[in-house]
Amino acid sequence: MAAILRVCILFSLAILLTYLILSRQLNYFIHPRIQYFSIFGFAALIILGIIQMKNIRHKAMHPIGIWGYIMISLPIFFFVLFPSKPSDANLADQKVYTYIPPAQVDKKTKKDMDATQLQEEDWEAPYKKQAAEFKKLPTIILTKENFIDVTNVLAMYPEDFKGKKVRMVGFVYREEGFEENQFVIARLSMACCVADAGVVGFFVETKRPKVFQKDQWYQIDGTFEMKKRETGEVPGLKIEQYKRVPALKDSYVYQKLY
Amino acid sequence: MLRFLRSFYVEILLLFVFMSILLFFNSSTYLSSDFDLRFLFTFTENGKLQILSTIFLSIFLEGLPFILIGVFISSFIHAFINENWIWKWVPRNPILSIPAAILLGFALPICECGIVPITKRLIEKKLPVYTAFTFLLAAPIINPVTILSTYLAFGGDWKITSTRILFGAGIAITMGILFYLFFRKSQILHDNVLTSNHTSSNCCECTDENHHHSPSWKEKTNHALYHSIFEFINMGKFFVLGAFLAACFQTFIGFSIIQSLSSHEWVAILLMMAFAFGLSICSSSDAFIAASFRNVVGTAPLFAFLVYGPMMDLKNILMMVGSFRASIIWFFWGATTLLTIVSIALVL
Repeated sequence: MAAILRVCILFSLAILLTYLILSRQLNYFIHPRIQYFSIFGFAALIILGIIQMKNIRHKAMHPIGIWGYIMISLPIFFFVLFPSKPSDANLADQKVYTYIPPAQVDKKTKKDMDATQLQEEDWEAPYKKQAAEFKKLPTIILTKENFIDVTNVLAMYPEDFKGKKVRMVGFVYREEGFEENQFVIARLSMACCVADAGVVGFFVETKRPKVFQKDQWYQIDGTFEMKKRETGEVPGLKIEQYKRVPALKDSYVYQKLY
Repeated sequence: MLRFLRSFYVEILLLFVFMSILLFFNSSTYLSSDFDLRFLFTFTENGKLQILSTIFLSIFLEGLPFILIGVFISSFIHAFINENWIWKWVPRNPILSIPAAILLGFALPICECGIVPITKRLIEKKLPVYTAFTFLLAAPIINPVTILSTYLAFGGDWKITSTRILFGAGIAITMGILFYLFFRKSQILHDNVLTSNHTSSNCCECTDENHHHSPSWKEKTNHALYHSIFEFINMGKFFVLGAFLAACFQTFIGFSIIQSLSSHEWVAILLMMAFAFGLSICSSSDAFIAASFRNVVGTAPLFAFLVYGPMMDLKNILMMVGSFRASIIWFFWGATTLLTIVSIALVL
């Protein structure tokens, strides 16, 4: 009997993976780059399932307690019970807002290391190239693909981009301690899975605080500027135009891994 | 009632699994069919629970392939490698074998999800305990993927990357020496792990016979794969529990404690370590998280997070509970924690 149960568990996990991959919902959970591993995982589950099927008449190898089976099928129950994804703004409340995107270098530590100067220029080169490209554009339009690149470059060379026109779509996010007229037009950025997602975006001050409410998505046109906060200078936007947009479904932006 | 449950639990569970598959395909139509059962499910609209579920599933889905890889490797070691082989490759002298274990981590790029089943299997194959634990601690930090992601997350800063590696290697080696001093001869694994693998059921008798009439390559592969099913479910249950607890930690405590960090460095170090333990983020991506804390916390707490996180986390400890003795786990956990605190406080 336990043998049949094992077959069921293996196959239902495989079905779960297939469903997520085919419906593209796996993007809501993990970084697209890692999804190759999920395909491997699917294949492995199917192989194991078939092998257990072949041996279905035998007594299952080594006993596993009832709790073990309940435990391992927990993800399936959770997936069935909570089919809808929480809104980004809700998720963002659990996260930490990092004004500075990950690739930005701490200027202070940089000065300490004169010896490795050459090496640094090496790795900075691609960012400089990107910066030059972005400078040429009349308006920088942030998309899913270039979001992390743009926010990195803007935070690294703020002087070069001051007053530059920027357009982005994001959700309204207020951190504890924000005034009513302050918010961040934000996206969630993922490095690996939702557990490590962080909030990335631009700090905005508005004259109409009532317009921008939590959980709403806006397309904002503005000019880039640095804003002073207690934690230091943060990238911000001076708002020029805004437009309410429906919430994006596939809303994460992904950090480039390798 | 209990007796009923006990005698029919398999059938009941089977029913559950089938129900879930059914629901899976037409959850909305099914629920709104004849009886409107939706009121029973109103709790699924709860925002917190949705977040919990999303984070839990994402940790699970991310870790699943790596657990499977770990289980496969472990089962193949079980079927193919016999105890005498190990001594061909591992030097008998602990002074040599402990550093060798660190390099093994570099050669076997396995992140922390897959490491426990492999270590357990290596110990079963009579790899010395101190070498095995050095490997367990070192492999998640000292592997190419983690090194690369640390390098990228901190914007190409070799200093942070190399400090992380050095701390990891240092702590792993020290732990190896401690295990050599205290646990050289003692038994590490649970009794039932040992018995179930050597005497009890049908499969394992055939492995014991293996040594006599050496079955074909194909038979061994089959056996290894069949064995990985057990291994997968057995490890998987602890992994799922760990992922669940980590998701709870993030949902109900959240990153906000970081912002309330006091300026006192000691408290910050301890908090960051607790944080790394509770979050259980994969070692290949935790550098990205750490990078985002950079402007909130100082260097010492940051390294506490970077070094302690991969070596010790909730889901790994839970996976170890399944196969190692409690005293070993306590020692392992306590000594590693203390070592991390002391070394970070002294050096940074």
